[in-house]
Parts: sequence; structure tokens; C-alpha cells
Amino acid sequence: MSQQPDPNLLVAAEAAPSLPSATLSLRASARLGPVFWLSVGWLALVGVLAATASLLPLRDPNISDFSSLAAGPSAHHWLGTDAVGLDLLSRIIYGARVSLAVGLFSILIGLAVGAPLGAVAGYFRGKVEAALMTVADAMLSFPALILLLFITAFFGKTLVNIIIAIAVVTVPVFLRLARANTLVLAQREFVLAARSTGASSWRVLWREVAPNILPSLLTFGLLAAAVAIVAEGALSFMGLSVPPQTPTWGNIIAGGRQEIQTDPLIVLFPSVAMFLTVFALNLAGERLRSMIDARGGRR
Amino acid sequence: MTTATVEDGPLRPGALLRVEDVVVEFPAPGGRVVHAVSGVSFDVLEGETLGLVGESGSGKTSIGRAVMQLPPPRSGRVLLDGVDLTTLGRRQVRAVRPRLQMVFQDPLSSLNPRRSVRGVVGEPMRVWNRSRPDIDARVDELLSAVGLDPAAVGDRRPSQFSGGQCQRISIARALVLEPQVLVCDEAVSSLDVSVRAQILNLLLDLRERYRPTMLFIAHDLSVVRHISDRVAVMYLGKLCEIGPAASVFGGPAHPYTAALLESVPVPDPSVRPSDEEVLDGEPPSPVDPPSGCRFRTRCPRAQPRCAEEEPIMRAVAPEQFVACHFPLTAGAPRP
Amino acid sequence: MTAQSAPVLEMHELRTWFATPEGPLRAVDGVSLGVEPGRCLGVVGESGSGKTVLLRSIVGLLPRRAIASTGGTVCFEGLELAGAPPAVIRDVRGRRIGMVFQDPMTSLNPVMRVGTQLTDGMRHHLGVGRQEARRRARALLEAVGIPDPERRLRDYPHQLSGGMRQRVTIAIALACDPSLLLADEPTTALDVTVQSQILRLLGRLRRQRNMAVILVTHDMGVVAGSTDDLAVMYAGKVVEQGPTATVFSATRHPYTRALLEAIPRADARPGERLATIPGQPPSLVDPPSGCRFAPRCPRAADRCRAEEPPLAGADGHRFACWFPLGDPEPPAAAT
Repeated sequence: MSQQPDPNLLVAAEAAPSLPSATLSLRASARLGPVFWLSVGWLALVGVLAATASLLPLRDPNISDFSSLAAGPSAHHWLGTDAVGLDLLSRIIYGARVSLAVGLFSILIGLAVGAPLGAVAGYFRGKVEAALMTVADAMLSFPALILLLFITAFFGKTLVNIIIAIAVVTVPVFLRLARANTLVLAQREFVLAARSTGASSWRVLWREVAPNILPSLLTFGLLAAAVAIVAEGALSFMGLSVPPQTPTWGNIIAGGRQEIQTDPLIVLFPSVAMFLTVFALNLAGERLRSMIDARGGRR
Repeated sequence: MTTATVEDGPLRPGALLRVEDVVVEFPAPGGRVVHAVSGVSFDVLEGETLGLVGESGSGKTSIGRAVMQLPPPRSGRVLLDGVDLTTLGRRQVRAVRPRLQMVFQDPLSSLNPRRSVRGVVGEPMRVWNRSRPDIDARVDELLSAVGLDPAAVGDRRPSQFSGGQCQRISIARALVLEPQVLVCDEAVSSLDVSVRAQILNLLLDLRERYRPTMLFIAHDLSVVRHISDRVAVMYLGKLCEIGPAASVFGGPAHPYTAALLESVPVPDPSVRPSDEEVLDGEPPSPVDPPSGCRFRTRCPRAQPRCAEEEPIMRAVAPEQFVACHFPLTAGAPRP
Repeated sequence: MTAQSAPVLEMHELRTWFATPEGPLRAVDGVSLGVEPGRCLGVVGESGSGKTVLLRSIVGLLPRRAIASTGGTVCFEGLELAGAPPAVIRDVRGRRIGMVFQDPMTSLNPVMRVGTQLTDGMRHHLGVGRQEARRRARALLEAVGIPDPERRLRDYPHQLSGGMRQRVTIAIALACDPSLLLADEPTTALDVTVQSQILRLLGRLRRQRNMAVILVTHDMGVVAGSTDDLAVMYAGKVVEQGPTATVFSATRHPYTRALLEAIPRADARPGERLATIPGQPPSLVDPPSGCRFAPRCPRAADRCRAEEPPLAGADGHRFACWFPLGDPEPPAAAT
């Protein structure tokens, strides 16, 4: 922690106007630090394992080993088995597929829909903005859980529907964030300069505004992905996500809760996997955010 | 009365840029209106530099933006080469824009931080779909013209440059489309003294080389005096005085111009400022400007007439015009 | 021109280095200055010269974690401030040393009434009662030229104009009747007519209270009109100091002259080029050997690049230059 440039210190240093700004920007762009790279390392490990799960020498996550039911870790089953003899390591790795897919795709969809709408609202203002913000506020006011319930109840509990349901919830969040960032940027003089060359509004949005709001949106996306993974876990746990036999972290935890007093490891292992993943996403997002803030030097 | 201002005022035939009775207003909280610019007229001949001075809230920046149609004024006309820009459609305005370019105050904020110097300067040409070799050649030419080495700086980002260098890049971008009119809005105000001198010299060099017509907006009188052929003084959304730089600075006719000139600290310790206040108070709010002459609340020469009747622009010397009932010139009526 | 009384504040070889990943940044690098009661010392320099850091170093207003090392002594009324415990410095700051900053909006607390901000310091430092503090606050507002002080005491900062706000910050700085006032660019954010009001006010208060003032600014015009003594800073060092009139009329350091010549003069011919200083200020992490101005100095010789010139001279006028102006050109002067 001691090597990290302290953001308060940077602010204080910037308050002393006699410091050459070149030195400050150098300091602001200093290394992301070991915490960030540890987090990225964990996410990469989970990602690679999930992507290559079918190629790995894992037991089939849906075939029970009746010779060891609810067994602890062993040479055969590294993380043990659950109550019906399913291999926990295999189920957790396959479960990572669902969690990561939900985290990644729901956020990408939310971003892809919300960010352009937000940028348009913030750049054009007026009636377009009023209409978009009203819709976004209405969506934010609607209880997310009930929305998710509706979607899974009417369209079925498939992975795609879960992803879409969570994406719908994140759209207004990205919309608001993109609008807020665009409002600030639209006042910057380089945007005015671009308009004064005769560039069309769409060109200005695409070439001047978008590249400047994207980093902070992507960074926020990491934090949002963490929330999405927790949300999917909670839905699985309540049996509202994909069917229980499909391995997901939430399903494994739900399946293990009856045996939590006798075999707490069944709940512990997937919980730890989820915790570490969510924690890594938060840490990485936070580090990126503070770096972008320090570097942007917005005024 | 407004048309009378135009006819009797300082407008000259054949001017390249002509601003007629321009009004700029913004909404203020509580349903009120900020009267940023209230009926201002002036013109700039081809190749001429008009300095526009005023304190904060005088409306000088709003005038610059109104000329650029960013946004268009609430009313009044802005004529470029005889064409009224305020009547043009959106597409036509875009087509005219390259002829008017702008340099802003904040050097860093003027440049997109995520683009290289080459990208920043070439972007206006890319908007107009010029060919790649044309763009490269022109960008090289302009970077050299503003004193930067294209090979050394071209691929770097704006954040790697000092304020003065960023301002050079901004100037290069503004000139890349060969504009007829260059609007400099406080273009040297945020720079250190020695850097400011470099940029002023650069503007003088570029003016000789590319001959743009310039609207030079600034609050610093010494800078405006140095670069301008003519000077216009604004106060609270109105034009007080306009005329050749030497006449306005040498023999100010409007009491506000005189006070402004007297307030500027002189870099000479033998000229100790008197203990007497040059001007009391501060400018009133542009939300609720005074009736009649807007300067009357602070004017040492104000009379009842100044509250009742708005002074119109009239000549006090050849080419020098002032909007004051009791101007400071020999032979003029004393209050 | 000799000092009649002992200095209120005397710094000796004051040094403040900031920690950066590339090594220590020598923001203030061995500065010795003093100021006597009733006199105004101007510290002038461009951004990065260390003038603001110098001012903040005096009263320990720099983030502790940013500092790599400090050195030298700051003697204030017989009390050593450098290295003193924070509690001691806090007591001196606000009570014996008042401070005024550039931006009156950010130096006032937006959610506290003017009256509370004015009386807090008095009640804390002087232990006066509420009624007495209130009475003194009214008197202070009157002293800084604020009409209707009773009403203003109940106002919040946003209800005041920029000039009024700066008057309030001056009143707060004066609340405990300090013997030294530190003013950091107090008029830079203000319009020129308001600037002249504030400078006059500071001069009047200084004479009435026999208070010492250190005025930090980048504006040669401001120092010329408002200071008795002057120190010119460049790259963390004082390059020339002395009575203001002498520094202006008998300038010895080439940097001081360059600063003066970079200001557009009233009698310049139209379009005349200004004198500029080539290049950029040096890195303070890795400053040039010898004289720090040598790389940009037209008179620099081999000795300037090898040996650092001491700050020396006679009659209180000192300059750090091997070949000062007025002396013959150095034998090996660059062409």
C-alpha cells in the first residue's frame, strides 16, 4: 500500500500550483500496484478454467460418484463431493461459466444500450434528455427483483433470459453515468472546437465524447459485473435462475445448505470462489477508477 | 431605435465580419434571464484585428460564441462576407464553419486528451474528407509554423505538453482549414508572462503569414493594445466604446474605458497608484441590469439623464464611437 | 532604504523538497528573505518558481506526506517555526500570521455564515466572548470597506460578489490583529477594477496596523504599485532581491529584465514583437548545474553552467548572477 500514490496526496500536491504539472501526471499514471495485478490474475485464472472446463481432466459435473457422498477433500475429489456425490471442483469450475457469462454479457449489453443513450441525452439535452431520463428513472424505481422474477417467469429460466434480465436492470445505471460524464465533457473546449470545424453532432459524439467517457464506463462495468454475479448467485440460491441441476455457484450453495452443519465445506468452497471473484472485480475496478480520475485532471 | 444604432453607429460598408444588434440571453434559476449581450453591433474589415475588452460578465465571450454560431444569438445578425449566418440552416452553418475558427483560453481543455497532436490538428480536415497526403502535409506545415517539430511532437498526447505548447497546438488546429476569421477567446490569459509573450509574437507572425481577420477577446488591456488595430470596450452586455486602438487607449471617451485604463497596474514603481479609488463597487448582475446607461451605477459622471435614456453610439473623433451622454472629450458637454 | 526595526519574519536557507518517483523535486531550494513591520515584500515569479510553496512552507501548510525533506530556519517574532510542533504553528497561524488566498470562493466555507467564520478565530485564539467577537467583526467588515456590515454578517459567502468575498477573507485574516499577512495572488481571480480596490485596501490596512505583508504574485504591475521590497524567484531560488524601485530601475539579473520586457508596453509600435525567453523552465527534479537560468540566458558563459552564482550585492540589492546587467558582457558570451 505504501507504494501506491495516495489520491489525497495528489490532490494536495495539485493544490500547490507551483508544482510542475508534468511531474504530477507522471505520478498519477504510476503503476496500478500489486493488488490490481493479483485481482486480474485471479480473474484470468477463473476465466481460463471456465473457458477450458470441457478440455480439463475434470469429472463430469452431473455424474454422481455414489462411493463418496458428501465427502471431504481427497485425492479423487480435490474439493470433495456434495450430498449426491457430485464433484465440487468440477461443479465450481463449470459454475464459473455461468457466473462469468452473466457478469460479462449482462454488463456488455447494459453498456451497449445504456451508454449511447446516455451520451445522446447528455449531448443533445432538451426533450430527448427529458424523455430518456424519465424512462431511466422509472426503470430504476421499479424493484429489480420483481422485474427479474417477471422475466424468468414469463420467458423461462434460461441463461440467456437471466443475462437479459440483469442487463435490463443495468441499462438505466449506465445511461445515467454516461449522461453525467457527457454533460461535463460537452462543456470542454475541445468539443466546442470540434463543433466549430463543422463536424456533425454524431461525429463529435463518436470521435470526441465517446473515447473520453468509455474508460470510466468500462471501469464502472467491472464493479457492475461484480454486482451482477452476486445477483445471479442470489437468484440461483432462490431457485429463480437456471435449473438447479445446472452447476452454478448459487445452485451449489443452495444444494449444500441442508448439510451446512455437518458438511460446511460444500457451501464454503463455492462461496469462497464467488467472494474472491467479486472482490477481485471490485478491487481492480477501484484501482482503475482512481487512476483514471487522477489522470483525467478534469476541471 | 435599434436600427438607428446600426445606421448611425460605427458600421462600415464592405466589412468582412459584421455583427448587428446581437442579443444573447441565457435562462437563470427562478425563470429569470441573464442578459449576457444586449444589442451589440460592430464590424471587422478583412485582415483587421479587433480587440474586444471587458471584465467578467461583460458578455465578451458570449459575443465570440455568437459569432461562431455556438450557439446562434437570440436575435440580431452576424454577417460574414454579406451572408447572414443566423438565417442559415443547420447544414449550411456547418458548411460555413471552417471559415470561422476559434482559439480558447484553457490550453489543456481545448485538446482532446485521448488523441495525438497530429490527430488533433488534422481532425478538422478529416471532417471535410481531405485526402490523407493533403492532411499530412498541411499538419506538418502548421506544426512547423507554430514552432513545433512535427516529427518530434506529432505522436505525443496533449498531456505531455506545457500550457504554452498546448496553445500552439490549438492555434495550429484553428488555422488548418485556412479560416477567414479567427476568434481568440482569452487565448493568452492563462499563460505565464514569458510564455504569453511567445504566443503573442506567434500570433503576430501568423497574422502576417496567413492574414486572418481576428477578433481578439481578452480582459488584459496591455495585451489587447499590443495586438489590435481597433478596440471595442464592453460593459455588462453593452458596447461602451469602439475605435482605433491608439485613440481608445490614448484618449478614452467613455468613463468606463478611462477607469479600466487607470485600474491596470503599471509595471513601473515610480508611477505609484493614487490612494483614491478609481471606481467604486462592482458590476451589477446581468440578470437585472440598470436602466438607461448600464454603467451609471458606478460612473463618477452619472446624471439623472443617464438613468432615463440609454445612450446611443455616436462619433467623438474620426472612427471613434462612444455610447455615453457625457463623454470625456474636449468640447463635449460636461455634466 | 535600510530597515528601521527588526524583521517580523526572517527565513534563512529555507528549503522544501517534494517526494516524486523520480527523486526529490526542489520546489524551494535555499531561500533567505525577511520582512519588517509595516513593509510589503513582493515575491514574484512564474508558475513553478516556488513562490506559493515558499509561502506555504512558512506556515507549515503543505501536505506532510508530499514532502521529501525540508531545511533552513523560519524565525517569526523570535519564535522558530521550522520544525516546530504542529500545535505551535497552528496557534501562530491565524492569530499572529493571517493568510489570504487566490480564490475567495474556495477559501471561505460555503455553508457557514460570514459572521461565524469571522468570529470563530477570534473566540478560539483570543478567547473573547460572543458579544465582543460580534462587535469586532462588525468593525472589521467596516475596515475592509463592506457597507452594511450587520447584514453581511448574516450572509453566506455565495450571496457576496467576488470582490466582497475577498474583502471578507481579508477581514478573517485580520481578525486576530496579526503582525504578518501572507497574501497568495490575492487579486488574480478578480477583475482589474476590483483588483485595484483590493490592492489599495491591503496597502491602507498595512499602514494603519503597521503590519508586515508578503505578497506573492505573477504580475509585475501589481508588485510595482504595491510593494516596498521585491524578490524575484526562478526555479526554486531567489535570483534578485532588493527595494522594488531599485530592482525595476537598476535591474541586474537577466531573468528579471526578461520578465519585464515580456510585458507589452504602452509605447510599443503596433505589431512590435515582444522580447521572449527561449526554452522552458528547467526540471526541478534534475536542475541544471551552475546557474539555473543559464540554459535560457542570453549572457550565459561557461562559468554560469559550471558554478552556481551566490546571491550577493550591496545596499540591500542582491542578485545571483556572475555577469549581471550593467557589468561588461562575459568574455565568452554566447553569440
